[in-house]
Amino acid sequence: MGIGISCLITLALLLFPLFVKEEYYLNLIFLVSLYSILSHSWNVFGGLCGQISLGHAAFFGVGALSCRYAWIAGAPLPAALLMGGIGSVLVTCLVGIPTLKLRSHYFAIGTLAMAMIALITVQNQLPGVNFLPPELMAGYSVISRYYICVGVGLAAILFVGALKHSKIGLAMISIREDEDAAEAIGINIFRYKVVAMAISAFLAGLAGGLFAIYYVSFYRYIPFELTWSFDPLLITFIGGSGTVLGPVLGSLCYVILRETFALSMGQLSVIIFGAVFILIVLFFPKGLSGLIDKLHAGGPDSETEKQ
Amino acid sequence: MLELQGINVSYGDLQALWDMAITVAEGEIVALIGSNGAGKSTLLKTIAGGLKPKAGTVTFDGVRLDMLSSHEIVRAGVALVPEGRRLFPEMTVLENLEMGAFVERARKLKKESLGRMFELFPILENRLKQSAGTLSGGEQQMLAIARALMSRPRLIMLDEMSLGLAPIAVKSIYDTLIRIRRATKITILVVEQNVRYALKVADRGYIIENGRVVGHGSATVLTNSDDVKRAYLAVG
Amino acid sequence: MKTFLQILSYGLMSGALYGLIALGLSLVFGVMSYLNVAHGALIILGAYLSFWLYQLWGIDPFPSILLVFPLFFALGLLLFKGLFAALMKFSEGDKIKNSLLISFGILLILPNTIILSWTPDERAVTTFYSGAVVDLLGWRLPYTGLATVALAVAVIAALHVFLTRTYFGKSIRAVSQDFEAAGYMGINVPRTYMVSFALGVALASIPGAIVALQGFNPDLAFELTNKALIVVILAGVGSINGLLGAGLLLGLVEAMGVFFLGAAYREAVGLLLFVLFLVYRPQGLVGRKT
Repeated sequence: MGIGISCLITLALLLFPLFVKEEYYLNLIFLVSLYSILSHSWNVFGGLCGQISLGHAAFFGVGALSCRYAWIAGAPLPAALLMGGIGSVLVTCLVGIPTLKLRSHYFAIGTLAMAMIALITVQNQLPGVNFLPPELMAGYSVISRYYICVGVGLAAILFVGALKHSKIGLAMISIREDEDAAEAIGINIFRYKVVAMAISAFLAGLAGGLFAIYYVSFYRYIPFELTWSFDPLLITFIGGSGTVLGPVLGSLCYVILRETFALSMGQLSVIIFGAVFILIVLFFPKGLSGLIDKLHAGGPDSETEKQ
Repeated sequence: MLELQGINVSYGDLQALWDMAITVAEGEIVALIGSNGAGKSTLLKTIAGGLKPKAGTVTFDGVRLDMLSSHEIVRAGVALVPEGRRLFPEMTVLENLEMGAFVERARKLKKESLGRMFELFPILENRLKQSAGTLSGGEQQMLAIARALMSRPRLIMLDEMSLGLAPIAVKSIYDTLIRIRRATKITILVVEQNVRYALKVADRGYIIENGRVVGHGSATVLTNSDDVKRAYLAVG
Repeated sequence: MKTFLQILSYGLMSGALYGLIALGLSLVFGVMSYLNVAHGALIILGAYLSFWLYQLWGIDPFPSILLVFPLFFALGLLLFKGLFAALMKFSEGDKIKNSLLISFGILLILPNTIILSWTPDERAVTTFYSGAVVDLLGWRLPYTGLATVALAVAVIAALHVFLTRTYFGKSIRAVSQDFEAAGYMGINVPRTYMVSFALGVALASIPGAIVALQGFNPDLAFELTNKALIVVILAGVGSINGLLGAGLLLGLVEAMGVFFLGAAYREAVGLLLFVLFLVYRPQGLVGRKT
């Protein structure tokens, strides 16, 4: 995807609300952006660094609640969002660091257990719904949410793109390719895993914060539900694990698919997504992003994977 | 009996064997000698079906082994004692021996084969119920060889048998091999770093370096060759 | 005191069920390192089959196992040939990672297909012995629970005999310890994988029948997989005999959790135990260190 096309799309997104006022469409783009950010957070840890984590629901949930409470306590939106990211990093890295010594599927099920413990704890310690106080209700506008989310989304994409080609990113990729070999050439595996986890937690926390400032009221356990762990995994793989556009493409498909079947059989969208996921894992490891690259046949502008 | 022609083997993109050609006649003991990493083990693994050659053929009594999978190769009568023995650590001595006799043909003769093994390696009979992982190095090597013999092979291949064994144990095992050959006319292919022993026991030998066959001849010729003496016997 | 004893016995009976739940997962994981997270969904499928067999032909869940087991074995063969065999082309590390991902996909697809076909309603098989208990001076032991314990012991014992006294069973153990060497013995490793996988799927039919008696719905699939994972880790990968003990341990720990912290934390206590074992004692109670 050349720079030109990217700029055009960015411009289109920025101008979109000027022409389309229905909240329905703004909501859709908001969701695509939200899932993109969350999936990119998974992508950094799972796609670049190769650690398949099933614990992202905890990152997302902690971020959501941190942001929400900060916002209600009076912080301005940007600060509250930041709190979401920071809160997530602090809490989850504290608890998550011991799990880093686990490898492969042990890591996956360990992080899953952590996420489940978080969910159960919140369900029991913080039951009920969190409502927005009237002052904040008054200042609520969908359009502001739209711009914040799209803005953060674009920033996240640029960040991951830069990360991928940075020294840190390359270290992560070598850990993914062959952990033992990476260690042999002097890469401090633990340190980079921690960094990857922190970046991942921050992004997921931001996404959680966006969730928190968007939904007027929600049951406090909702952002901890395991679907927030599974969706980014599916989305990233389908879109193309380890790529910059993958999570975005995957999110687009996910939201569209869900919308298409929302009123009829919601299960069908999950089944289709699951089937596509299996096909991608077995036969198209580069996901949709890889397919698009093939169509572009590798010109100088295209986003090809050089590993 | 065994014939390799034009064998090329790669590990992924890394080529390990180049155009290897070897023959082994029935009843012979042939040694493959060469330094560490020369490709000897890779060759044995290829014959046994653990690796598939990119090009070339492996024929055993007219049967193309390179087209078969490892279990079919065992059925055809070829057994491998792998490098490092590769015993089943949590199975008993008896169970390991039983696994050796897995193929149909060998299973029917299991009792008789066990009897023979106990004659050749009496110590195993005392350790039947022990976990294979708890045996000493020499005992493990004996078990590994006995296990391979349980499949009643016509060709047995031994990969780096003497590694990690005391000289007495090595001598004892080689003596047993000679006994076996005398009794059953079995064909033996050995890969050995201990060149002195290998050539003492073998009829013929091939020298392998960097994945290629660089020399061959009868054991006497090789033992007396200046090159071999310089390269291997001074060191080993 | 009576309540304590009561809760304890319920915990033990749950534990026996947990052991059964973990069996199929443990076998497959131990032999080929595939972590089939869809195992819980297969158990639910088994529950549905037992349920329909009862609804349509009055077959009691326990004997229904004799019908569902071979059916599931065939299903396992199909699944392996159709899906998991395609993993063979990957390297060891990728094979293991992708098997997790694929079973994850199945975990999504299967329960949702069930919801579409049979609705998400709660189902249960109610038989003449459903509520019945053995009453020992106020200490109540449900017949179903006692039968579960008996079944768990029987099945694990049978599996043990199979793995240690039959040639094929021993070859399964050989393959799980060193598949390359097993090949050099003349063991058909790909076929052993296929049969082991099918056996693992078939074993899901047994807890399925018991779950049918307890009441179930498609959403239970994930929770069942979860229980299976915890028990497998507690027992130690590769240990079949340890599963019963590990299941009982989990059941007991949960019972204690309920007794001291209340029902809400039942799951959390088990999960905490799980994480502790994962991080600090990965070889489990009896398993070998990989």
